[in-house]
Amino acid sequence: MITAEEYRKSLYSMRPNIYIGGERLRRDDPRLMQPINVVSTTFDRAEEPELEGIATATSHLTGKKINRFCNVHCSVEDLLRKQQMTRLECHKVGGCIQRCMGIDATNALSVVTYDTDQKYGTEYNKRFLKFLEYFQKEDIVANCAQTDVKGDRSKRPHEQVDPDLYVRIVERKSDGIVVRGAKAHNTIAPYAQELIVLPTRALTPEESDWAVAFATPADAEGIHQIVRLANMRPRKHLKAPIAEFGDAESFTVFDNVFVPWERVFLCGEIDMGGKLALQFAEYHRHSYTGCKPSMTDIILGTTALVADYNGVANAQHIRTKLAHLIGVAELVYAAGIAASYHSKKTPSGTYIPDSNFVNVGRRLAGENIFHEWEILCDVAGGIYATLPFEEDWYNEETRGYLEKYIMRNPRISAENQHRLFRMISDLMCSAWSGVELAGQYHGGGTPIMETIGLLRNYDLKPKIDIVKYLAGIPLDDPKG
Amino acid sequence: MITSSEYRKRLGKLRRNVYMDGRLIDRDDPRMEGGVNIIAKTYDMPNDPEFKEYEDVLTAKSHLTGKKINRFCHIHQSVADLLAKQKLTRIGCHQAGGCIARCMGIDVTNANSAVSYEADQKYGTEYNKRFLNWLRDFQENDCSACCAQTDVKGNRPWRPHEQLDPDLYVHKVETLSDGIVIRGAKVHNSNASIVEWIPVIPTRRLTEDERDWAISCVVPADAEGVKLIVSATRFNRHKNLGEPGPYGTVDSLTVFDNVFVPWEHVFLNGEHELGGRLALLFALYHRHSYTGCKPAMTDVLMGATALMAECNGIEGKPHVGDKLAEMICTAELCYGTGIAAAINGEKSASGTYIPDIVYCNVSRRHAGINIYHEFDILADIAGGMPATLPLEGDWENEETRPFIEKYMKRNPEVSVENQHRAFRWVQDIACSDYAGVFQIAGVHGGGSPRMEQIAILGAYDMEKTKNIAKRLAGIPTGQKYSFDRLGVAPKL
Repeated sequence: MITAEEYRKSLYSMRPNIYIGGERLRRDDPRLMQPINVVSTTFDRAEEPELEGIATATSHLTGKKINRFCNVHCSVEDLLRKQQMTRLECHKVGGCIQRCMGIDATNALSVVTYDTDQKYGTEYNKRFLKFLEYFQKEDIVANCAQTDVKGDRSKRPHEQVDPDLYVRIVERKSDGIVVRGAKAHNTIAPYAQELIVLPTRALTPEESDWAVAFATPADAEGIHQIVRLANMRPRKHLKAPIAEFGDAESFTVFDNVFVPWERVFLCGEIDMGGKLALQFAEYHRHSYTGCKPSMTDIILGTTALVADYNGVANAQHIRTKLAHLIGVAELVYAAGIAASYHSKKTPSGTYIPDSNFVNVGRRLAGENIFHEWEILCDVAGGIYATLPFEEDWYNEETRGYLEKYIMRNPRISAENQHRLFRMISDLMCSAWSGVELAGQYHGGGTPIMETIGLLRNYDLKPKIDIVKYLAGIPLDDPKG
Repeated sequence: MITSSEYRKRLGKLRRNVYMDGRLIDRDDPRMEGGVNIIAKTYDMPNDPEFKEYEDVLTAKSHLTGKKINRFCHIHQSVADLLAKQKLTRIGCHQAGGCIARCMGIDVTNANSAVSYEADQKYGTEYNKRFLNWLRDFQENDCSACCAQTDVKGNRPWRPHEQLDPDLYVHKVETLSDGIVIRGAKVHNSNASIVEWIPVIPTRRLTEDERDWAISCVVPADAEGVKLIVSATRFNRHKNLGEPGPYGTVDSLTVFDNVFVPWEHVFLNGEHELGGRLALLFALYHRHSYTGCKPAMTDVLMGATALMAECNGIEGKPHVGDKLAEMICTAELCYGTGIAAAINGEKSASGTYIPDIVYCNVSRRHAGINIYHEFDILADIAGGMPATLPLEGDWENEETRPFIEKYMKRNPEVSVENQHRAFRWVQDIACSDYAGVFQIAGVHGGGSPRMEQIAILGAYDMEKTKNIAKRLAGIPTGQKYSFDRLGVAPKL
């Protein structure tokens, strides 16, 4: 395992291929510090004694202690611990911990490369395991570049006017492949060392060039990351953890990027492309059963605290809202526990969580996220939206007024009231909050995607048979 | 283990103390057959080769005798037992098309198992020994039991000892050398008239002034002084449709008119703080049962919705899929949360496992707030026919039958007879008096969503979640910022 300092150092030595607002940046640009702070905590927390075995795991390849974000799940326990780690680590950064994509992509590759080798006699799994060994040893941060830009939504990849609208193989060479295309919404990509590229959907026989999976250094020749930042408003005086964090998404262009064979994990096996896309999504939805309850914990804690500060903690309508938030958090978390408990060991030895429980958990989370924000909005009142800027609290002319008129529950100091409302302002009215809301709704799959997943996997026939039995309709009647 | 005919025989031998609609009735009164048929099913299933693969779910090994027993008589010795009980409940309810009725017995015996032991530890009493003696016979004879918990409660703002009539909560009126005498009445007492034993437990927390109300005991259902005033509902009995059952339920206003309970059947006698804990623990076990039965109820409604869609020829339409997905989510969130409650279950001092209180309650609450919406979905997809279906006799009348069969016809892939069966059954599940009882039980049975809210807020450590917010805001807490809600089985 490496330290946060070593992680930062490795980023700073990368080729500058980050573009923001018309400039090309190095990775030590101050604008990237808030997002990098988030990922840095994942190195710090692996060193906390209380999180031993939760934030850390034992590599099944080397037997060495590794950061759990680099682990491949070898048991039900591993899945439960990943979920727990995700929940605990999100608490510290006030939202998405971001590094989950790496673990979800590597686990999906672990399963599907093995299955592909069994079916096609390829050697992807061997390559993958070699890559994984490096990944674990160097404690690598990875993005998963899955979502293609997709062009005309009614057309399949091979039907697009421009075939590059889905990332594809443009050349097969003796030492590797050349890929072209672009992936969107790539959280963590600007401050990850590796990009793991997977297909975004099931593919048809015409689409073998799109059935490609590989890992590439995030600064490889031909990769251009066009990045949008979503940071909290920086603070001058009232330092607080929430203001140290942020995130950034990349629109990642692969402009004829060369990938050597040892980093190619799928190349033309169309049926496995769709499986890989789905398997990543399932793992990622399982991660949501950890992060989404954590986000609710933060909303819940903030709502309870602001109710306290507003002096209305015991009002019944507020208690009902708190119970609703607990309900959402714990139903989603419990669905993840059930998904872990009902996980299956695949031929590769890697465990995959139960699809139905993962999807019902992620779907409830997605459907409730805006409602949770609404609850906090309701209980907090409007002050965080119109809160005077920080400087006005440090201007001697205005400070006295603000401290006098911010007062609510007299037990709480004016400064702490200010701190809380400024944090709520960050949570609710910052560039970050809008992105977080959209992320919690769409990230890992929009509720409609979970609906599709459920209707595909859930066996309705036994349920219909129960009713036929109860109604007296013979189960073997062809006209039944 | 006994057979269902033995169960029915035993009911027949009980003293006549059941009243319905103005008369003293026999326990084989046809109006109560719906409930009897369901409990009979719990005796049939372990002997039915069709359920061979569920043998370990339907039966368990007694921790007292090592013998194979019906799981409804078992005391949970492990997480696996809690999971098996949940599964048993789900598959049992599938058979009945609703409540499997025997869960109350297992839930109250498990609660008594934990609390009688704790009382002995604290007060040097011998309740647990008595309880285990009784349990041995209960398991050996494969007995059925209900749970008499909900007191009639009189004027709601007043506590038990403040009521004008102290009998409005069941209490002890006399202590004798060989036992106690209790008086009062319990309400909404499902199945009391079709079981052999009526365990009696407190309904709420009790104060020091309420020691006489802190009673736990078991009473034979036909004991002297016990009077059961019942209302029964069931699916209609059909003449020619060949469906199982009919199934139904029966609820009792159970009067204890100076009922003598010998010491060996008294498991709590005045330990008021344990009275409250027993009330809470039964509710907790029962809410865990709901994580099995409520998903089963949703399965039934989901299956009915899917079958209605098929009959109507709209299977696979996107709006039907959306609604089925909603039902899948309700079912599996409740069930998954019950699994989490079991996995996070804790071993109590008695050795009996107790499920996690927050998970049981969030699951039961989710079920309770969704039940009417599920009926709404079924009504939406079925259309109006379940409500206005011509009576069965009109299908048998040669003058009207051809018209009905011609104009009832929908999807040509489904025979008109099977369409008739499907709609007739949806009428039972959605438009019968039993259906109404079902819906209200779905909201209130095992505790209304409001009661779950109270339990959740009582058990959840809100200070810890506030500390997460405080730390992010830079407000000093002096506490660790991360928290993990481990098992929170209610402690003494």
